[in-house]
Amino acid sequence: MKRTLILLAVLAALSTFQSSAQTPATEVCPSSATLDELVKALDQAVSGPVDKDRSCLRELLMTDARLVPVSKAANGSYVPHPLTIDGWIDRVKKRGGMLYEVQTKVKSEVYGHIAHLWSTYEIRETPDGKATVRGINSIQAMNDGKRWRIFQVFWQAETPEELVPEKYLP
Amino acid sequence: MRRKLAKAQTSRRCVLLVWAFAICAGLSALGQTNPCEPIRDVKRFVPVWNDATIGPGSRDRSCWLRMLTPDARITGVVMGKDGKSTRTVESPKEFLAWYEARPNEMFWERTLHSSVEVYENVARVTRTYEVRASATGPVLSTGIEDFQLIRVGDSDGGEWKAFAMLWQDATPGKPLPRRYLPVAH
Repeated sequence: MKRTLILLAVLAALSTFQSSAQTPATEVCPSSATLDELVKALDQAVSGPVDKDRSCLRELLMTDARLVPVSKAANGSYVPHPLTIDGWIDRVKKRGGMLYEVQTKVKSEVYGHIAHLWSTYEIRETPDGKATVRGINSIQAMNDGKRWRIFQVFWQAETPEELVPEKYLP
Repeated sequence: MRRKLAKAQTSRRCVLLVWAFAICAGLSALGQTNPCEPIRDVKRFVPVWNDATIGPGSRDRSCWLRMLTPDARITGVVMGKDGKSTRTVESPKEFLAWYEARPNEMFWERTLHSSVEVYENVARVTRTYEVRASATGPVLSTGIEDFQLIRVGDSDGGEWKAFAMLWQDATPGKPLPRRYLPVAH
């Protein structure tokens, strides 16, 4: 009888261990109660393996958020390319590899429940690597009374011909 | 813009309509801005926007429309009496429909403060405003607008257009911060 109980206890322990080993740890999304926290949460939600779980990014963005890179068209004019959240996730997945984004200098305007963050960003392949891309993010955010969420991100990446002005650099 | 307060002020505005329209026409004659001018310099956006906005609800707003991209979004945050915020998301044409439904109301605005950040072909403009029913009438409401702009086209250096506008009226319990008011306000 005693041996049976011990065996059952060992099996139960093994079962629990196996179960926790199979279930990936759920990422706890960081707070965005303040604009400073929002910026850090954005960097965290964007950064990592490109195919990472994007639950925190979805939490941070309003469901109808638009992510809008601005790029040069064949005729030389600049055009916005609005993406949904899913569109951005797919686009980044196709890029492959790792992506680490950090906002290096942020200027904010805020009143009541709306805010604008004019932010210089850098992208690296590894957390401590050299920045391979730099540019400006123009971010509109809204506060629902509890936390800030992003409504639209509009950005242009730097080119050798169009350097980010000194005043926007850290 | 400013819809919540504007609705409450309808009758006051109607009374001053004729006066305000005359003043508006006079300003235009002074040539302070050309509301249909293409925005070559992003710093021109605010004065041109202001002038393109004011006028009766029935005003031709084709110049105003020209200042936005066709897929622009206009988002308002309106505070309820319970302190909760709701938002409205509209296309430029949906936004204008509100004015068109009030052809006899006058919408007079003055920019209190503005700031601009620009990097090559993207820019941010933030503007605070006050609304009156006429140039010299009492202030009916104040608020803030935040624009994301893109420089489109390649002729003559392109033209700045708003791709997004986010606005919120100030409320009595939460007036605009001093930093968003004119120095002598």
